[in-house]
Parts: sequence; structure tokens; C-alpha cells
Amino acid sequence: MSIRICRRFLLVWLAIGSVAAQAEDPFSDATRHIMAGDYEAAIEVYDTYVENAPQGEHAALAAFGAGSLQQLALEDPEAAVRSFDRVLTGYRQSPWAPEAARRKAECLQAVENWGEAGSAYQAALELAVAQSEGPGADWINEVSLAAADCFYELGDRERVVETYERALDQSLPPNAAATTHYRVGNCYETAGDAPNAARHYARILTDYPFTREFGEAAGKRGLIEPHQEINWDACEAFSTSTDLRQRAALEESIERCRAVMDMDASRALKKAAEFRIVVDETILSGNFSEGSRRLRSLTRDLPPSVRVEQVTQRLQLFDQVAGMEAEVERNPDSGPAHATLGELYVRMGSLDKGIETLTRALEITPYNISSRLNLCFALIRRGRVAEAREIADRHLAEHPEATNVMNMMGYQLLQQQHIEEALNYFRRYVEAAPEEANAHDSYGEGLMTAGRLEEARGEYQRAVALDPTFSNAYYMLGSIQQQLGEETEAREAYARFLELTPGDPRAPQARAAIEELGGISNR
Amino acid sequence: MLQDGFSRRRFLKCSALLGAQTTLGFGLGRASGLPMDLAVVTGDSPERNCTAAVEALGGFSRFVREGDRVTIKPNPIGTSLPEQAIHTHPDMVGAVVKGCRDAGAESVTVLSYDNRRNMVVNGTAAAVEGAGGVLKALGEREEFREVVIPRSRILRTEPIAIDVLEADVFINMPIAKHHAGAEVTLTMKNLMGINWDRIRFHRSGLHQCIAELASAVRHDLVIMDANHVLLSNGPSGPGEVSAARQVIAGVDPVAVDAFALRYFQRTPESIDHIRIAHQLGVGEIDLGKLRIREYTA
Repeated sequence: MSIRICRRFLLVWLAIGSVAAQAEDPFSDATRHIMAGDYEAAIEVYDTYVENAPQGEHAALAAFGAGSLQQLALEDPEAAVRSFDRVLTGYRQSPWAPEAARRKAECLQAVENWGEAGSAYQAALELAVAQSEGPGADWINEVSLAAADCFYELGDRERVVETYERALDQSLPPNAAATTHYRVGNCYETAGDAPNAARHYARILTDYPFTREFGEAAGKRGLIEPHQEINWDACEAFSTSTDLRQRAALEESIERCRAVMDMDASRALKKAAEFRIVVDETILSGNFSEGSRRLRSLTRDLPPSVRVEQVTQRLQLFDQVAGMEAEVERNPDSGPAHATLGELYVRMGSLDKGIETLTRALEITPYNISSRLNLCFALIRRGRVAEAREIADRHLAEHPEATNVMNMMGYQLLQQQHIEEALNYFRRYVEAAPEEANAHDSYGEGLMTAGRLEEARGEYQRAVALDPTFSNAYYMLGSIQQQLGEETEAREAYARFLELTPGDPRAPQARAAIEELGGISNR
Repeated sequence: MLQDGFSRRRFLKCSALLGAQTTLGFGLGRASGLPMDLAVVTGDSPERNCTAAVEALGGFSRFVREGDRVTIKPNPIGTSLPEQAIHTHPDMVGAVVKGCRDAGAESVTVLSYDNRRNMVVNGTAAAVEGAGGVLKALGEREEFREVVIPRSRILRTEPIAIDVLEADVFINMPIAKHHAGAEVTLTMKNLMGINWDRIRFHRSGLHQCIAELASAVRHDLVIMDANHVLLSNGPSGPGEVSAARQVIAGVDPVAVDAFALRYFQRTPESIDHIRIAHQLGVGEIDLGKLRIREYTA
């Protein structure tokens, strides 16, 4: 189109921006070189940036970028260590510093310099916890595990434990702290040091009630009881409330939590119980504005070890529900508003209100896929499986390619112990998408839950044949083969799982399984 | 000093000649010298909105030179009508193919990870091929090359479509939509599709991965379809649609995305991948620092 023609269209001209020049990506030339495969030229761009603008906004990132290319593209660990050191000495407060220390550690690990690598990982952890918005719990878990791995390679079990203990000296996020306590407890337990193992497991029970490890630690009662004083009735009541809530038995869950509050339990456990009571009472009453106010007031008083991400999310959800309820009141014929509110109710566990609202949403907009699925899930959790199946099957008749619906229905049914119905959907998923590794993984999980181990093994083998990087399938394969007595194969599957995802939360179990199977591996 | 409108291939040729000068890394991009950072055109015709937005930036000849190989990445999924705002309007894609060909492009390839059948149904195939472009549905691992991503914490490396890596000009043509996972799918989210392993992104931290991928791809031009904007139940819909009747063009993916959040009544900082991409130096998030011009077509 010529400028003249274009002008015909440009009838109104309104400049709303300032005249400041655009802040172009300072590394766009490096990106061009990388896209062309010329990594050395890209490194030069990054290096030049640091030299020309050592105090520039992106200087730390530039030094990191150069190191990253030296490490991953040129595979030159020595040069990479020099670049990462430049970040660590010149820009220690930068958000890139923890990752630079981690990458430096990886380079040293690559040349089997285990001692310095372990120390660099430790430095990465220290830098991470010193930052207000540092890396998350997963990152911290991976790095502390890697540090411990290095000291394990050195044969220095004491430093393995010391690494974990040092990590615990920092103010770790609650989930990372609980995982680390569990791991170090496990180290002591393996070494036969029951008192120290009990000390760490007990810490989880007193301080970290909202973490996954709470249930695991509660299972170690026999080991903990001779060495640590724990109110086991309180722990058991809290664990039972967790199970009850998963089954949507909120009244009973509230009863158990009230019992915890009347017992001589830790402050963290009592506060967690109180938090649950407020949440469940709100869901039952449906008064989310009031619930939001009560939760906000309670959250201010929560000990840091209880302030897990789910607590903040719960508070945000309450606010959202209250906002959406007002929106639906303003627009009673809005399909999207009903759909969103219904989904929020289901996420909150307010199932009856969710079913009612989603049914209304589908009356207004019958084709809404999300509403259909959310309604199915709510019905399944309410035990109304036949109705859920009818909706899902009608959808699948219209959209036979919707394999995600088959998969999600399968998992929802599996979670509620409707195993045969779940297998039916997983089987349909495999038939619809035989080349999808995830289909076999899902069907394998269903078969495993049904106790049909040999068939499950076959499905997981098909999954890894289709996708050799599918780490979950290797873990499950290892577990099945271990149960079937196929020790060598189980060990190999676990080893592959660890190789692919060394930072996975199930890594300690995989390592323990390998040791139990007679393998000598720390990876 | 290199000139505006330099293609990637020509850039690389000259880089070799200029030696150390090219490593200075300043002022070599197409953006320098553009009359504005974002051109926003409102009107009833998606095609006219699109061509007018590019003209406002200087026209296709500013971005495409004789003999260039151009790669375009629209958001082509699904078989719905353009008014449902699921895929980039075919008339826009056709107009851009034509604009590039008229500017002398040797070839114009339009990429998709969705199958060809859907693109025939939704009208993209006819629009592309009618304008002299080639439609390519990516599906084989061999069509991607592993690239190191230096500005990354998670990805480290990622297989990226060779058609993008070796193009002289890369044009991203997203449609503005709600997205259940990423909150919105705009320019940077639309890059998912030029990479091989999309599932990994969902497993590893979607927002961080989107921003890191955006740091590894040089955009020569972004043209966003906001003629109809999907506000809910994205990315596949159907959902609530706003007839915004606009097209946004620019070269900075962060700036385009930051601007497009007006349709969703969100601030740029509230969407993680946009905020992270800005921190990675990919582009500008502060609309107050940009030269934005709005037109009516």
C-alpha cells in the first residue's frame, strides 16, 4: 500500500506517547548471532556490554549471558567459571548472582572438582536466601540436593549432612525447609542416628503442618517417639482433617481442627487448625466477604513456617469469589460471570454451589467447555458419577479429538476411587492418541492403582519408548518393577529418572530404592 | 553505521566485514529511526487496519528487502470464525504476505503447529497461498535446531524452528486472547509454536519459559490482531469477545504486549511473563516511555 493510499485511512491522528526513544533490547545483536549459530560473536557482544557499561542496568545479566554461552554452547567450563565469577564479584546483589553461583558449580562438577563445586552450590544457596525475591522452593531443593551430591561423591557424609543443616540455618520458604528437614532426617536415619533423625522429623510435625512432609513425618512415630516429645493426638487429628477435606467432609474436618485447638499442641499446628476452620466454615456458609475479612486478620498472626503459598492463594480466592458474586448480581444473565464463579466455587470445595452456578452458566452458554468440565469434576466429587459421565460423553461425541477431556475425567475419577470408570476414560485416551506418551502414562497409573502391575508396566514401557525424556514414567516404571521383583530393570529405571530430574521431590525415594536394590549411586 | 531495515542475513554478512564494530551492540536494530514505537489503528476492516499500521511504521519496504526470506508466525489454531477471536484474522495474514511479496521477498513462509486441515477450514490457507506465501505445518523434530538461551534460568537450550532461525525477516502476528494458563496470549506467548517442546513449558514454569524464549528470538516486526479480542475461556474459546477493531504494530514484543493489556484491564506488571521479559532486557514495559500513535482507518 502506498503512503498516499495509506493516508486515506489515517483520518484521525493522536499521539499519546512521549517522545522518548525506544529502549531496544541491548542484546538483540547477540540474539541474531545466536540464531545464526555464531556463539563466539554473541559472547563478544555480552562481554563488550560489561566492559562499556559496567554499571549498566543489564551488566550482571550480560556477564551471566556470556558465562551461560561458554558453559552450554562452547562447553568451556574454565571460561564460563571466569564469567560467572565476574557476576559473583561485581554484581553480588544482582538477581542473577544465585544462578551464576549454581552454574559455576555445575562447571566445576563437570570437571569433577567435587569440593569446589559443593562449595559453589552452598554459596548459591546463601545468595538465594539473602535475596528478598530469590529463587523459589524448587530451585533451593535442587541446589541443596546438588551440593549434597558433590560431597557424597567425595565420600564426605558429614558434609552432606552439614550442607542440609546449613541450608536450614537460613530462612528457607516453608516447603523448602520441610523438604530439607525430611532429607537430613533421612540421612541420619540411614546412618543409624535415630536421635538426630527424630529431631528433624519432629521439627516438621511441630512447625510445618501445611507441607507434604507433615504426613510423611507422622508416619515415623516409632522412630520419633523415644527421642522427641510430640502431641501425637493433635498430629493425628490434623492429618485426619486433611483426609476429610479431600473427601469434602468439611463439618467433620472442622470438628478435628477444633480438637487440635483444645490440645497442648505447637503454636504452628494450632494456627494451621484455626486457619482451616475459618476456610471450611466460610465454604459451608457461603459468606465469602466475611470469610475474607476473618482470614486476613488471622493471616497477620500466622507464624512464618505456616505461611505457605497456599495460604496466600486461599486469601486471594476468597477475595475473587466475593468479587464475582457481586459481578453475577450485577449481571444475572452473563454466562462468563456464572462460569467463572462456578469454577471458583468448585476450586474452593463449595461443590453444591458450584454445581448450581455452573448449571446456570451452561443454560446461558451451553458450549462452554470449561464449564462442562468443571461441572463434571464437581459432580464426581459429590459422588454423582453417572451425571458427570453423561456430560463428558456428550462432549466427547461432539469432539472426539478432545483427549484432554478423557485424561482429566480419568484422573478425577481415579482420585475419588472410581477406578473402573477411570480406566475406561484412560483406555479411550490411549485409543484416541496411541502415539502420545502421556496417554500411556495415564493409563499406566490407572492400571497400577487397580493393582494390574504387569499391564501397567507395559503402558509405562510404551510411554518411555515414545518419549525417552518422560521422567515420571521412569519413576513409576521403577516402582512397578521393584514390586514385581525385577531388580536390575527397576534400578535402571530409577537411575534414568534421577538423571533426567535430579531435583524432583521424589528423588530421595528413588535414591533410597536404588540403595535398597543393591545399587551404588547417588544420582 | 548500519542502516535501518537491515535483514538478518545481510546483518551477518556485514558483521564479518565490520569485525569488532559489530560487537558494540548499539544502534544496529531496525527500531532505531522508526517514526514511532507503536502504531495502533482502529477501523472496521482487519486488512486495512493491518496495512495502515505497517504503513505508519514506514511500510513493508522498511522491513523487507529484495530477495529476503520472510517467516511469519500467526496464531492459526482452530476452525472457528474470525469473529470468535481464536486465530489471527486470515485477511491480515494474507495482507502481510502480499505486503512482503510486493516489497520483493523471495519467499514468505507462514508457520503453524496446528494441522493444515484446520487452516483450510479457518481460511488461513487460502489467504496465504492466494497472496503468494507458503503454509507450513511444523511437526518433525528435524525442522528445529537446538539453540542456547543465555538469558535463562530454566530453559538453557530450546529447539527452535529453522524457518525462524534462518529467516531474513521474522514477523510475529498474534491475536489478543485470554489464556487459562498464561492469563493472556499475546506476542510472546505466540512464540510457543516456533519451539519444539511446548509441554515442557507448562511443566517448568510457563511465564518464566515464555519470557526466556522471547529473549532468544529477534523480532523484526510484530503485528497484533485486536480486531476481536477473546476475553474469557481462552485460548480455544468460545468465550466472551470484545470487538476492539484494532491492530497494533511495532518491533518490541514487550511493548506491544504491554499495550494490549488495555483490552483485559490489566497492568503490564501484573502479567508475569511480560514483567520478566522486561527484566531480561527484551523490551520496554513502561508505556509512558514509548512513542505510541493511534489512528483511525
